[in-house]
Amino acid sequence: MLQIKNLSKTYDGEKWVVDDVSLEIRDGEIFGFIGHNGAGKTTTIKCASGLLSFEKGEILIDNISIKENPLECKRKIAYIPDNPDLYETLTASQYLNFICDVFGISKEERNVFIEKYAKIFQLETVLGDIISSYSHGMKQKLALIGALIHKPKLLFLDEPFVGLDPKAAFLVKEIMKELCDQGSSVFFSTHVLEVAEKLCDRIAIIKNGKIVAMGDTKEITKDKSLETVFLELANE
Amino acid sequence: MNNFWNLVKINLISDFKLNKVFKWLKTKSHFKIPLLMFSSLFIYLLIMGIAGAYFYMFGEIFNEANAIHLILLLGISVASFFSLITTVLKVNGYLFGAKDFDFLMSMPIKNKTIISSKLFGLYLLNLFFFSIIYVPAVILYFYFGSFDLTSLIISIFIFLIAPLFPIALSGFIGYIGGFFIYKFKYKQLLTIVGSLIFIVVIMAFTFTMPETGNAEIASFFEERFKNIYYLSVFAVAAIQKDFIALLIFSGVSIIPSIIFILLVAKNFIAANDRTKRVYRNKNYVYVSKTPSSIRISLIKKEFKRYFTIPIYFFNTIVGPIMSTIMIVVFLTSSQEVLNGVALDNSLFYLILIAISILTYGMISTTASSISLEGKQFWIMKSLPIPTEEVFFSKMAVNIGICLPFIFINPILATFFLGFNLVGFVFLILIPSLLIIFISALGLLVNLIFPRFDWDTPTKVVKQSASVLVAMICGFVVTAIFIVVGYLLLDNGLDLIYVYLAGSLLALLLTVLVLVVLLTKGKKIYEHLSA
Repeated sequence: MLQIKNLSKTYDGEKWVVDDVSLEIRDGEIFGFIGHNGAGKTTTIKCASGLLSFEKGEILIDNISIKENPLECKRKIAYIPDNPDLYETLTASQYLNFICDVFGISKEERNVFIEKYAKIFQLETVLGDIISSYSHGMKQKLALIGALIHKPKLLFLDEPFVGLDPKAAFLVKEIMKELCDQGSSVFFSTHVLEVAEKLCDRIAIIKNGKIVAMGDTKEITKDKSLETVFLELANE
Repeated sequence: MNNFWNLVKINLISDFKLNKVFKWLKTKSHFKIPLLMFSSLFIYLLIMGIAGAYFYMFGEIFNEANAIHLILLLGISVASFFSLITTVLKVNGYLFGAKDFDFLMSMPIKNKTIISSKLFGLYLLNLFFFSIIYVPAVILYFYFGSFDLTSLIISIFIFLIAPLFPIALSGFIGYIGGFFIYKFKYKQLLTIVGSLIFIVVIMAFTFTMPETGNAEIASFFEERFKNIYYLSVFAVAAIQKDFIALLIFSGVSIIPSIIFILLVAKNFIAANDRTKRVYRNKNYVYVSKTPSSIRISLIKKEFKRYFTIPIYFFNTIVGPIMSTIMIVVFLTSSQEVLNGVALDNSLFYLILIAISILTYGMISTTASSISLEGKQFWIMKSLPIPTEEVFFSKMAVNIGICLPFIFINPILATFFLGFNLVGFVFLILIPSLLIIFISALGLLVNLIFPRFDWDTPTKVVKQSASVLVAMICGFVVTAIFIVVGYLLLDNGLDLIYVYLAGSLLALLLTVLVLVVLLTKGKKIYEHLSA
């Protein structure tokens, strides 16, 4: 589903924030991306989802280059940042309908979807409120509904559990699993190592812009916890 | 006091991006900073020059009527009035409901200090804008009258304290408004409509046709400007060395500011809480919406943003409204028109085109439309929306708000001048092309000078590099139009050819800027990130 080949990215032309990163995410896989603050997780995710340009390497989504055909790629993916700033002056309903319009989702389909997920995330009574009145967690939920609305084949999530209440966090995990069962893939970054350990089929650890470990979660952790492995690599 | 200056310093550094200036002074590596500094200075001097030229015209009339003090009355009234209007729109978001509120309240700093520092920031900004109108008025007062050192010193003192009352009044309006405005669903729209009504009422009350004769005009202005801002009467008297008036003006300027600081300091948290309250529909039921195309959906989103940010609306609606106002003023004050001797009305139509070009070229909504995406820019970037559609939707707002005026102006011209097919057609065609050009140019400039890290839209709409540079570009282009038109006319070229040359120039510029936007601009957009 996603192939990142020798990706390198610099902001100032001097320091490589992401340095020769290569990884692959298979269909139906939950892939965890772990690293310390400033390691290059968000930059990698932003490059892969077409938000940032990059100097070296290639990124293919479903065998389509994000550089050469960004629109085609974006029709297949969804991205949610760590701090989802949404259009504050729109109502949640207007925001979701805007996303539906962009993806050309029919009236019937969007009604069913919005009602279903608004209920699941307990937003059905506040869909008419402007987004600026939402809490961080509510915005996170709304961003998630917006991301799922077109049934993406690949979902990018940057720190998806920050600010979510336990019930919503559980729901997000369930939705991630459900998506993968349907053949879609999830690529997410997190600092919550316990979640990554339990949820991910495979993980990659990034340090100072370089991948220092990658593989099946069980292969990487072996008889240790992911936290121990991560700390050992971080301290090397 | 240390905290006060610390806060002022931090506000100034972040509001005006001074760290970038300091860095440039050390390294001199970035072309954008000197360009921005030059643009700011140019616009500042340009507007001051326009105000000066305008005041000079009145100065001559007032001088002949032996009432040169009216130039001060005019300057102080107009500056204070605009200071009041713009501060009212700024106060919510800057003073109340500011993004740094939580951070500041968590620090061991007195509320009084926080409010004072914020007011001081507003004061400096107002002082800057105040000077644009006040300084030419004072210079002309001394130029036409006689120079006096005491009056000069008092005029400097007046300059330093004059913005205080409009700021305090705006603060009170914002503070009191906070008690009830949250109860309205469309509070931004309410602010826009309320402010528009306020301006229109003031305009209608103030600007009626002055009588002919210098003494009558002087008396007309004295009466009208007293009505706009009565406090300016004391300021004028003070500059004329009336020390009781000076005392009254100082008291009325300073005391409300102190009362405001003390009052709001006590209720600062509550006042900020009120800004967070929103209208809620307790019985909301999701109603299905009719699907729209990407283009329509984007345009709807852009218009929604336009009408929900009052400062954005007011800053950009000025140009189109001014076009109609100036055309009406020109047509109603031209003796030839009034006396019915405007036989060659094609020439009048040409002047109307020049007025339209000048006013439409002043500012474009697109010059800040990319920056206004702010931290939400990721949404547009992550969605499969063609860049051309994004550009189109942003340009559509500027074109959309100008469109009614494009058609109103020729109708007004026909009403006053009689129907002239050539004039009518070109009064629609040339400004229409120019609006497309200005919209595309504004967008291109904003792509080159984006600013995403703002906390209030004011910083993008009024204080950003792209708006300044777009204004200069717009001014240069309109100047080219007017000079070319004048030269062609002066060389005895037939009017129809002047019209055609104007249309051709507008078309060429529009095509050129659209090509650059869709090639270079598109690439910049695709590499842009918030």
